[in-house]
Amino acid sequence: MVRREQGARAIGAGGRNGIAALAGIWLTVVPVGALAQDVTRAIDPRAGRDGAERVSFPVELHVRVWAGEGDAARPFPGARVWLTRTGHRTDGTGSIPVAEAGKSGTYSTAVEVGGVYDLHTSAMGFAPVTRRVRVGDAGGIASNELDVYLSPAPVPVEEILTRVEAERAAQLRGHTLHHIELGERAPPSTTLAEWLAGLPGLELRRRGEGGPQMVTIRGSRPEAVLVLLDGMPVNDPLTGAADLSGIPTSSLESATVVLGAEAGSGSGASAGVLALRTRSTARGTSVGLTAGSFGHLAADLSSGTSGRVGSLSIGARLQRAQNDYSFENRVWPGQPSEKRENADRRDAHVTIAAQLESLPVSALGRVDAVERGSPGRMGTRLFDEARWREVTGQFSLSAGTEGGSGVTAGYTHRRQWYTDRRLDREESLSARQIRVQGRWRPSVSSSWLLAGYAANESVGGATLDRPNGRWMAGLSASRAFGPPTLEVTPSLAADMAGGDAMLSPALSIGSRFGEGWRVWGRAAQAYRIPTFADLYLASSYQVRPNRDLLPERVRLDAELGVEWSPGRLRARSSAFYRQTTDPIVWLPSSTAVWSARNAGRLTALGVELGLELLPAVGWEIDLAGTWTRSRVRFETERTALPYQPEWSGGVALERVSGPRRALVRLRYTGPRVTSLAATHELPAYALVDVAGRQTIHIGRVDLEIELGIRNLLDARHELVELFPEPGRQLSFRIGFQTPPRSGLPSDRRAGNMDLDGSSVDHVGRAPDAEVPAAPPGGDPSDIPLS
Amino acid sequence: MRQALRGAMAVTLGLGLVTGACIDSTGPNGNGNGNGPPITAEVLVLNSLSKTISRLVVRGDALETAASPIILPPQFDGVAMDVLSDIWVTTISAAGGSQILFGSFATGEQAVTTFPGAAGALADPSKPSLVIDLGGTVGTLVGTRGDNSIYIAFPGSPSAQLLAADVGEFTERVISVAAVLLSIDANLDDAGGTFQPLGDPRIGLYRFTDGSFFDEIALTGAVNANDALVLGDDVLVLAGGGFGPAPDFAPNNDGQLVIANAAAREVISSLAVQGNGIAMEPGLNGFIYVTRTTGSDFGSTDVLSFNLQTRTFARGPNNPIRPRDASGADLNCWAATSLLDGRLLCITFSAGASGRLALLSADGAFLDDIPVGQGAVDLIVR
Repeated sequence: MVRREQGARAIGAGGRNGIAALAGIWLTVVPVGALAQDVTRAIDPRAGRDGAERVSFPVELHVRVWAGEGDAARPFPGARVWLTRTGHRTDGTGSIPVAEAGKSGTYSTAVEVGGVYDLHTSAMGFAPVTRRVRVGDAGGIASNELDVYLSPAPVPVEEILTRVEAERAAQLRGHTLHHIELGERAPPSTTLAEWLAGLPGLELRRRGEGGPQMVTIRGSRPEAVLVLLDGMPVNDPLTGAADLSGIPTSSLESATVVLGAEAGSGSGASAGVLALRTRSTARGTSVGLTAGSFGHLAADLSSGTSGRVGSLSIGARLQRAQNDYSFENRVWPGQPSEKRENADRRDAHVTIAAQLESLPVSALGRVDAVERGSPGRMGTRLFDEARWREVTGQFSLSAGTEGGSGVTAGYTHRRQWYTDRRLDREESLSARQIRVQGRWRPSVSSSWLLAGYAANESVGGATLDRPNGRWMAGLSASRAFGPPTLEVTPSLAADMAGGDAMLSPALSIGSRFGEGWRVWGRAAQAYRIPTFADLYLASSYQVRPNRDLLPERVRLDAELGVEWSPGRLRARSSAFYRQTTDPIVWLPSSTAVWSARNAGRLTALGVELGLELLPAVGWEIDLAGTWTRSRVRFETERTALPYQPEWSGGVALERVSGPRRALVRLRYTGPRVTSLAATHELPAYALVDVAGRQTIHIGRVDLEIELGIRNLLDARHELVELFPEPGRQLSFRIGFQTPPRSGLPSDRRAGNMDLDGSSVDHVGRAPDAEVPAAPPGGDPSDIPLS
Repeated sequence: MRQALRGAMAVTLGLGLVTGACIDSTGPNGNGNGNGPPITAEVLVLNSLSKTISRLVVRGDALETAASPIILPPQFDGVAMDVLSDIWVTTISAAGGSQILFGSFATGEQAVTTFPGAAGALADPSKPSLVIDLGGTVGTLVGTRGDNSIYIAFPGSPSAQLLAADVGEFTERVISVAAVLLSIDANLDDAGGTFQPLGDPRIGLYRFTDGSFFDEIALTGAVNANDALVLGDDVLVLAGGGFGPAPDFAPNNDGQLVIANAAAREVISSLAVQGNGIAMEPGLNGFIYVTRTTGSDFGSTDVLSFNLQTRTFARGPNNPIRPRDASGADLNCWAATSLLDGRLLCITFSAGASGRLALLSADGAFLDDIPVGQGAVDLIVR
């Protein structure tokens, strides 16, 4: 055990800066676990007996990571180093990145007085190291260095895969990425789409509470966002848009948003990709009940177990809501106050995940069922008896290899019913998709990555001309070039879909320089093939199919970004531009007969700004702002894209103190035109959400109490014209959670391979389920790209 | 004004001389005192997608904007309007929550009238026809396809009044002639959503005083009677025609102009338009202009003209007017009408980009055009 008194020389063999004469400020390092003890001893043979190692503070902490021992030790760049405040839950809160400074194996950050931290270091092929760092309470300034020695150790296959995926994420550095470890982050009753809408560049679309919810990226239409759930597309085969309302956050492990065209994922990733990952690593057993305004009731359960053969985890959620909120009917004389009708919904969700212990093979299945009303806009009663029902079953099987290669096969079957008793109308539709995708990397250290997929999808239903199916297949290759400080990654994706062949090149450049600076740029192409509705829908005499449609093409999707992360601040800004030619647009003909057409041109440009600040221990402030100019060009006219605000942004303030967590979030959305004619505009609105959570330890069980208030100021607004949104909503959740046991299942899936045949999930995840996930910057956080 | 045409053509022609009176004097050249030739007509265009009423004038061989467009409420989804003096009226369907919209050109005010009863939002009004009573009160007649009734509504009155119930399956237009209401029932299957004929269309005859039914005229062999004009004792009905099965829903090209005599309760003649009829508009020159489809789909149209005096086509299916744009290409008009001198005005339905109001020679040659709103579906010249 080690103790170093204040004012002593820098710690360890790698020390270089004195820590002299900093009275009263000390930092204590307490090794945790056997490995950590070994490392600590290796750091400083003069360690004291009590295991406490004192250094000065406030500290700009420098950590030098070494591989090997003794004279054979060498600086080790590329490790992941992060701090977590002890006593916090493993939900990622309080995670402080220790950024790598150059390629010398040195990492640095700042720490605060009064806290106790765990310093985590991990690298593939080495045993992870965790050291406890205790910070004193007196003043002073110092610069400290700690040395961490990594010992070679057998590494579970899943960590290798994780690492490879992280490297693949780095290859996507031309993109702006947002990664959210959902878990316990979202306040109760906040839907996935609502949560995502707080990210720069993302906007929410929905027709009131209870209906479908979609997101757009960087001034796009919803169908330009490819949503993958465990690698399988969620996008509706008829509309091309993905309804996120049927995927509860409680069933998800993480969400990763890739902003910008990503042709390697296949058709539809014109503006970006949202990759969702089903929760498969239940941390003990959790049971919760939620109640909220407008008849919202929910019950959720998750549990996991493991043994010699492998692990198994299950999750289930039942929820219902009346959504009978009041609104002002502004289209009726006198603008009477009315209650929303036929907006109720019931959901049922079940997930099952299994993993083998001896092989990197995992299986996952889920069923999501929704039954809801389909109300019309305010003032009409025409749809008061229209109901929508949808059941989706999905199964996937994944396997990976140590070299980072892997394959996933998935099957999705979706049934939809639309009924209207008033009109004695019932229509149904079924859609199936089989998709096999894989990636291959010649070696762990190879800069090459090859990926491919093959899929068959088929749709049948009364409103379609006939049952239809089609094959799609694609191959993509990428390779990174350049010195460590400048990486150039060209890639090429070739796709065959529905009889059309597409080539989509991309080029990305990334560079790090100075203290915490990073710049990146990217130019890419992508495409979206027509949906089945575009091609075959013939629901009435006013709707005609168009089998001659061409895929719409993103001719250029470009991005230029810069990031500056000096210690407790991370500022990032991106400028983007996207031009889509031959967009598939539903338009009426000269005699008002609707059909899909390749018409016009879409352009979107804008600037995003994100700021993450850790002003003090336990405090986090996130700022986000987006300016977007999205235009539709038909013939010689240019008009604003409906429902796309030019300005949007928000600020979130989060406080974590021991078992308590509080969050206040303000979101602003600017005015939006409601049609291509731009004769009507919805006013700007601002929403304030607050949430709090208290955890009480009762023996081995955690009692969790959560309270959330959405739209605290009761702002009345519409996301889609004449579809009222609810006012203030209260929600309350009480839950019980047993602590995780040793040997809990860790997520060993080979990656959902949903991003260019690869995955960015797991990036930042600690190898130990008890250790907080490490993506820096808090909520929502970005994937670290190195 | 159009109602006057529908009621009595002579009155219409007289009123047609009153042009520009309602034009916003603050609009460009709106007072007719600008340079160049005088304003000869005011044109109003209803734009269903941009939810506006465009206000334009004809000056010589040019079209000009007269005033800013009238912005209709966001729930607007109508396809027809009527204008009388300073008042305009249009309707909103059941999908938007059934309403009748009145407005004043002079003041810009708008008033909403709803339908009575719990199911009033489902009334689904059709094309409105403005009427004026002897006391000078302006009101509108509408047939409703949701509850198959006839209503009358007045600006400022919150609710329409029921005149007659159970008037047909799909009432497209109600016209008053003296004390008689003529209800044009297309007799289509709207409840089932197929919009296929349930039988022959018909003209129902009702007493204005109490809404009682007293007779009907079956339009045997016609399909989809969707508009009508009154010519003395005669009624000129546009039967638009049907369409084929899915997925192409091709036009059956069986549209007709049907002339029925209300006094004799019989069809006098039926004139095939050899296409599907899209719209029928009275011109200031006393001719009726019918736009029709010209091919195997609904993508292209031309224009026929009908002589009221002779009850025959002036430019019939074999000799249609082919409207042309500035480049000489065919101009697919949704609706067309004429000025006193026979020059044509036609509107093009466009989405995404603005539609156009085109000024053409009597033969369809291009003279001028000007953008209007998106989804132009009705025009009135006065």
